[in-house]
Formats: sequence, structure tokens, C-alpha cells
Amino acid sequence: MEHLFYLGKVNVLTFLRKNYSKLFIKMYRSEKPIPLKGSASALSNNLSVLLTEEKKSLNYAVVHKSVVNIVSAATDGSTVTNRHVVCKEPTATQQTTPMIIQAKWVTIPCRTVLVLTSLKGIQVFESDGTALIYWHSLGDVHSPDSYDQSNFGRGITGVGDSFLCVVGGFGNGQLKVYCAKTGKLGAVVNAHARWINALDIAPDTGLVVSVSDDTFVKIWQLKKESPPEIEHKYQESVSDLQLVGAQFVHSGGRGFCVTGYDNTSVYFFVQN
Amino acid sequence: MSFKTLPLLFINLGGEMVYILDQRLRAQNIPDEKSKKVLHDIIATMFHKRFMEELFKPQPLYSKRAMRTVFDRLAHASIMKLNAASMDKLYDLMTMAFKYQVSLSLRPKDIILITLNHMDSIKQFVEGVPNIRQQVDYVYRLIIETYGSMTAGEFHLIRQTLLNFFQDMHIRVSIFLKDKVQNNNGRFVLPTSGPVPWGSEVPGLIRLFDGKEKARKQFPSGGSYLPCLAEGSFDMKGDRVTKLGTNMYSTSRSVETVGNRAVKSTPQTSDVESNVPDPLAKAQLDLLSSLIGSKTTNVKPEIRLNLFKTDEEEEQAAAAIQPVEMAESKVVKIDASKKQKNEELSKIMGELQVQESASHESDDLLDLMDSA
Repeated sequence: MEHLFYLGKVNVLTFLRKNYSKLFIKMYRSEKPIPLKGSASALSNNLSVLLTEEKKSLNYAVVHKSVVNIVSAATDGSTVTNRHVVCKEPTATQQTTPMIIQAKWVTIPCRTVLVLTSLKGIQVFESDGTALIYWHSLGDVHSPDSYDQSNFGRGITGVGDSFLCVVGGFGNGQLKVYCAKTGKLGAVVNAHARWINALDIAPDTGLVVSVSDDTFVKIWQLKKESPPEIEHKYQESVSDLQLVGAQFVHSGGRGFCVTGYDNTSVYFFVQN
Repeated sequence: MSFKTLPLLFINLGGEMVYILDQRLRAQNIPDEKSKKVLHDIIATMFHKRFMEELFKPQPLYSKRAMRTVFDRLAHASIMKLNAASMDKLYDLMTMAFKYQVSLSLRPKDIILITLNHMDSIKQFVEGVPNIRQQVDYVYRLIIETYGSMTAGEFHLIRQTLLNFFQDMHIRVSIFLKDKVQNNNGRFVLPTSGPVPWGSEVPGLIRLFDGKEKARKQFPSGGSYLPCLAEGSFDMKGDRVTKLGTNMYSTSRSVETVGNRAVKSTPQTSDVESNVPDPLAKAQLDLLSSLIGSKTTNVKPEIRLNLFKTDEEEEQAAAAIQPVEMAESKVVKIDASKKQKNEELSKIMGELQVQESASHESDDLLDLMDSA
């Protein structure tokens, strides 16, 4: 009996030594959520994050029906401000309430802009959402041959030059990793138990974040093999939330945040 | 937004309405023959051929208010009367039930199986009434034609459209709380266990490829998932596999919402939609009212259905919601005088006004007509 117990103890200790980091130091810990003025709609990629260096603030944009709620938080945590951008569509006969499909900050060489895509067109705003710069109509969605052909992209993100691979999230919960140069399939991951709603990548480290209707946020590491490989790093379930948005807040992936359908928080995770 | 969502929203909410009314009619010991008449009248109106054909035309969803008005009408398509408080409760139960089903559906296409579960039950309710049965069969065909060859992406869009319709509705329902599928804050419990959707695999496997599969690695799934079940039949008959959309009420499992309707935890930021008049919805509402009108103008309410345990409770609830009702009727007001060319509707209006002087019993239906 004593002998057995001793063996057991050794095994437990070896196991602990080998797996200590996995068991007790999780890669990320959750931080205080940031409250939003309206709940997040059920859309793909319903969260955009912008880090403005000069003002030292983090900005979050989340779509609530025809409104984009923007929260700006100073990186030292001192101030939090809320704004919203209302999507109005210049149509003579307002048949339906405009519905935003995605809001995203896009950085182009000279400036950063906030881009909204709706059923009827694309609107480009100043990055703080104050002024409409450009409106592009996508034609008449009410015409009989164009209805329902709307975009249902669900989180395909390209990776910078350093990785040269493409990750796709799919409706059956799978992630697929392709080599960008050859298009060759590198990996298939049975990643989530429901539809994948958003993906993001940290370009400096090749970390990938995926979220799904299954309540899970999962972190993956891409590896520069040829063809590319992928490894599971971390996962957390945000109870009873269908997650609809996910973004890293640093290019190295040291922190990320997620949003959930029907919920008014941006959940924040930082690396330990 | 998918333009093919409206029929699904209407059929499933209607299906839930039929379940709830059936349960309440039995709980209030309404004679079998009268209960049957109520349900048959409502189903016949709901599935009226012309109305259904209108609904299946591609179009945006109605606003929440317009949808509510449609069901107010429908609930009063027979000899039954519901007062405003009971109607509110009925509508809350219907919407939360369908929100639950959409939220818990494993994959977007399951919404069709949920719809077919409702259709299967409705078909049973009209067993032995050939003309209504024929109407129901026609709707089966419309569903199969419209959604039979849809892609997964389109179903995903439909599911998002439905979820966004139900966004910010967190009414607590006692049957859900008892079954521990709803939390006290009105949110549904999303399990991290059970079968994965048809066509999906249990999470936890990475397969690496180099032309062919070269290695496999495992990782914890995070939940306790099981392989997928059978797909479920999308035909007129067959096993739908999912239980979502079947009748969850019985006389012992009563319909109840918990607490006051006014304590909904809603961030009231943007119901922009309610301010936008929707000409299409209005036209269809007119069609519906003419359908109801032509059927029931000579019928006086014989049954008063109460969705609460006691009449006192109902009165209290009615007193509490009065201001809301007023606000609603202000917004959805349509001037009846402009409808001169619609003879049918004018006829209904005329006949209803006669009824008004004749009887105070039918106030509720009149209010509904006025607020349209």
C-alpha cells in the first residue's frame, strides 16, 4: 500500500513538473470588461480595435443594429469616453432601417479611417467617427436579382509577409491554414463546436484568435513551416455568450478582446 | 439582413402561439369544441393562401411593433378575446420561445427543422379538417421550395437576422427557469456539451498536411461534446431529430413569465426601427385585417382567455402596462380615412363600429383595429 502510494506521489510530481505551466499558468487572464452603450448585434467580426499612439488610447468599435458604438479608453486607464456613429443611408424612400454589416478601422499609408459596410453601400468616416468622408453605393439591393446575395464572409484574415499563410474560419467550426504562395493546405483544425464568427492575427508573433457561437475564444500559434503548421495555445469559455467579435490589441498578441451577441461588454484578456 | 426571414419568423411565432393558446384553453377548461374552433380559426387565418404568398415574397422583416400588431390581429381571429395584459404576455412567451430555439440551434439550417417541427404540430391540430389541412400542406410546399436549396451562408444570414430581431429581449420565462435553460438575467444557458452540429466534428484534433496527411495532434475540446446526430428530415414528413420547436407545454407545465414586464434589462439606446414606417408591412397588415375581417365580422367574442393565474393578477398587469400601450398606438397609427379605395377594409371598419355600439365586450379587437 505504502509502495503504491509512493509511486503515485512520484507520478504526480513528475506530471506536475512537466505540465506546471499548462496547469497553473494560463497564457492569458481575463481583465475587467469595458461597458458598451448598446449590445453587440449578431454579425461576423463585430469588433474593431484601434490603438492610437499619439493620443495613447485604445478605441473599440462595436455594431448595435444601425449604430456603431465607439469606446475610447486611455491606455493608462484614466479616462473612458463613449461616442456613436449612426448609419444613415441617402435613399429617397426609406424602406428599411439601415443595418450595418461590419465596422472596421482600416489603416492606409496616409491615415486611418473607419469603414462601415451596410446592405446598401460602404461609408468611410474619419477615424473618430465624426465626419463622413466617402459614400459608395452598392446598387439597389431591392432589385429582384440582387437580394440575398449579400456578403456573408465570416472572418478570413490575411497574414503579413513574415508568415505567408492564410487562415480561414468555417461554418462547421473548422480552421484551415493554407500557404499563401502555393495555396497548399497546411492544416485542418476541428477548432470549434459551432460556427466561427471572427478571426484575428497578431502579425509579429503569428498568434491567431478565433471565436465562435460555442462561447469559446481560442488562441493558436502559426508556425513557419512549409506548408504552414498550427498549434493550440489557450482557450476560455465566456459563459452563455455567442462570441461575435475578436481582436488582438497589440501586434504581438499580448492582449485581445472579444464581444458577444446581445451583450454590452468588451471582454479583455492579457498575457500572463 | 436576409430578405427571406419573414416567413420563418411568422410561422414559428405562430406555432408557439398555437401551443400556448392550446395549453391555456385546456387550463381554463374551455369546452373542447370551442377550443378547437379557436385554434382552427387562427390556423386557417395564419395560413391563408394569399397572405402566405405575400409573406414568402423576398422582403425585409417587419418592425417589432408591426409584428406585434399582426399577432394581436391573429389572436383575435376567432371567438376568443384577450385583454392587453394577456396579449402582452402571450407575445412575450412566443418571442422568448423562438429566441431560445434560434439561439440553441446547432447550425443555421436547423431553423428549418424547428419550423417543420412547428408545422408538424400545427398539422396535428387540424387533423380531420380537410380544407385547413390543405392550407397547411401548401405552406409545407412553400417552405421546401424556398429553403430547400439554400446555401449554408444564406441560412447563416437568416439566423443573424432573427437574432438581431430578438436582440435586447431578456424576458424571463418560468418554464425555462425551471428547466435551468435560462439564467435569472434572462439570458439562455449555452451548453458546452452535447452533440456537435450535423457536418461538424468534435473539437480537439489538428491534422497537418503536406500533399497528404502527415501528422495528427490533439488538444482539449474545452467541453464534453459528442459526435453529431443524424441530419433530420427536410421533407413533408420525417424525423426532424431536433426537439427545438416541438410543444413544450402540457397542462401541468404552465405558461408563465416571471416578474413585471417593465423590469426588462434593456439598454434603450436605438430602436430607430420603430420610428420608420414600413409601407410593405402596412400593406400586408391591411391584407391580414381584410382576411380576418371577412371571416369574423359577425362573430362576437365568446371566450375570454387569461394568460395569468388569476383575474386579479391580470388586472394588475394591465394597470402596469397602460402607458406603454398608449405610446404604441401613437406610433403605429394609420389614418383609416385614407383607405377609401379598400372597400373590404372600409366594410370591416363599418361593421366594427356597429359592433362597438352594440357591445362593450369586444373593446379589445376594436382597439387593435384603431391602432393599426
